Amino acid sequence: MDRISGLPDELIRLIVPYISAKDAAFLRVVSKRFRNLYTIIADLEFDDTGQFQGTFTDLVSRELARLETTTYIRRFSLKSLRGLDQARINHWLRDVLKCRGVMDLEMGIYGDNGYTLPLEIFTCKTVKKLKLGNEIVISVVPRNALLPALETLIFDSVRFCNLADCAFHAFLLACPVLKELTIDGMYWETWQWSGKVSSQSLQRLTIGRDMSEGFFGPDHQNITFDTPNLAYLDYTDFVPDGYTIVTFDSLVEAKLNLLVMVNRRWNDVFANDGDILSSNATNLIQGIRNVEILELSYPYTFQTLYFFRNAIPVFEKLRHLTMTHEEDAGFCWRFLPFLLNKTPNLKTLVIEGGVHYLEEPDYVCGCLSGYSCLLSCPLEVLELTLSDKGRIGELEQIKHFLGKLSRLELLKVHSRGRLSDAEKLRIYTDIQMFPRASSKCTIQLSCI
Amino acid sequence: MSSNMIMLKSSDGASFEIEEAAARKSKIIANMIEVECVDEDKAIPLQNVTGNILALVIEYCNKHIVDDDDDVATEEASEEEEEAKKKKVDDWEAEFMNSMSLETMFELLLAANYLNIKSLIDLVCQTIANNIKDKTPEEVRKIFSIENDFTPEEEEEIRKENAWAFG
Repeated sequence: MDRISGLPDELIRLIVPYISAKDAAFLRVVSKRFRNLYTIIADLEFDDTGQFQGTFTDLVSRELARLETTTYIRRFSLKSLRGLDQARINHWLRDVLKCRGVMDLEMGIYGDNGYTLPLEIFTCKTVKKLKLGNEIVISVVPRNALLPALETLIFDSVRFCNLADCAFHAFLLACPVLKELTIDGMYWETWQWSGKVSSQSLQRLTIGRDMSEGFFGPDHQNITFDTPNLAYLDYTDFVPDGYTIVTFDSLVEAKLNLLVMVNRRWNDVFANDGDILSSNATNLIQGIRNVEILELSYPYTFQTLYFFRNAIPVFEKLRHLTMTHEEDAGFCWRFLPFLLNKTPNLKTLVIEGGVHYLEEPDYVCGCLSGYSCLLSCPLEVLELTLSDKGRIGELEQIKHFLGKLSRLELLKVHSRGRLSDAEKLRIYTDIQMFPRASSKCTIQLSCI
Repeated sequence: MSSNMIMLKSSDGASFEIEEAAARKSKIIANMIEVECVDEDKAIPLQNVTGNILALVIEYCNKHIVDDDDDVATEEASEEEEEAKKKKVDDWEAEFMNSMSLETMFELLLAANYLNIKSLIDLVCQTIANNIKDKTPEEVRKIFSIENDFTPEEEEEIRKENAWAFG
């Protein structure tokens, strides 16, 4: 008799909450006894927008009650648009969290800012990916909180409310192997928190919110990023009063969409030169100095970088810069010279969504001071998009790039609109005629 | 807290003296004490637990004698003190489990289950689970000396049932 087979089934069942569905799947292959002992449901999803008979609550309760004590659930998802009874939800969740080896848990319930999670969620040993939403409030994280397997954490419109023992900070602290954190709908001005985003293990961080919904908070708030192993940052937000500490030592790629405010307010009106800003992006801009890949979105980040142009550090490692923006290409690029003067190793510049031009022929925007910053720029690849079928103004801009970038090897021009062969030929011929600062530059033209 | 001593007797006849407070970690013994079926002079016979395993159970209970009062005590203790204390217990538990073979671990689990000592069941299960975690079926067979009683075809079939785990 081998060692573990000598144990009664009852004791083998005791081990159930300590192993994940994946471990159970492996155990089933070990011997016939384990295969007969464990069953695994790969995916159990309840969604009240789907088709079912009777009430949704009865459906979930009935299905969960039918499960054997040795049934594992790899992924459990509960989605409800309507309000559900909190006690019921938590009863189901406790079962899934404690006894099912669940690895992927998704809560898509509508909490209406009143729902409180069961504390068991903070001590689940097997959950690897956790998505919580939405309009859930988290105010208590128990002291023994520990999610030893959690690698991916997604908050969707979750609000943290506990200033004294910052529940947000405590949550992250309970996730020692967290790799990826996504905070959608981070309306932090409605949170009660310490402003600390701190994780030693975190590699990818996405913070987002719908900027058109405005900003709600009159209170002073500083934010700290203590994430020394972060490699990827995607950050859309209003800029707070300051960034106390920014530790992005390992950052490789950043996508920024940051908007500065006056008086901690946003009424769809951009700050003007000379306005006194309540936002201070200085430490953040300096904190991303190690990035190799940077994406800046139009128009907020362009303006933010311009206001904080004196904070722009030398981006020693930056080799790939993307400027994204919407259809309207009229917004000023005046931040660009300040940035390009600090990017000694930039190889690729991608300008999505149209170049900055006006209708007058030979127009040079004053904001770029004649593009003189391009003269010393080491760019080798330039990709840009014509939004307007190669109007004179657009081509004039290309002329500046070609005439000044001395190390350019490839110019890729995309057109957003469909081009006829005749139009293609015209644009291509025009571009070929422009004087080039670099003798080895090839030109490609394509339609998106 | 009472410092009454009580006697426990293992299945192979060994007697152990233990503080009542420590013995109460076992819900079974606690119940016996509650209903006063413990004779002052007589040892409680534990027919399913051998002496060497009972010694381990007692070692564990003695170490965790104060745990039950912790909820009250922690309110006053500072966070650092509490963390230091927790770490000390964790270290002790790790050492304790490390010192025993898998066979002993299983026997200890049986005893903890029989005596109904929740925290010890937790500890042993967690340790066994750690031995299983992230191991391939081949490795698990080796660790627990389990014979593979599947034909290759059967094994392939079960792997297919949970293909996501073997990807």
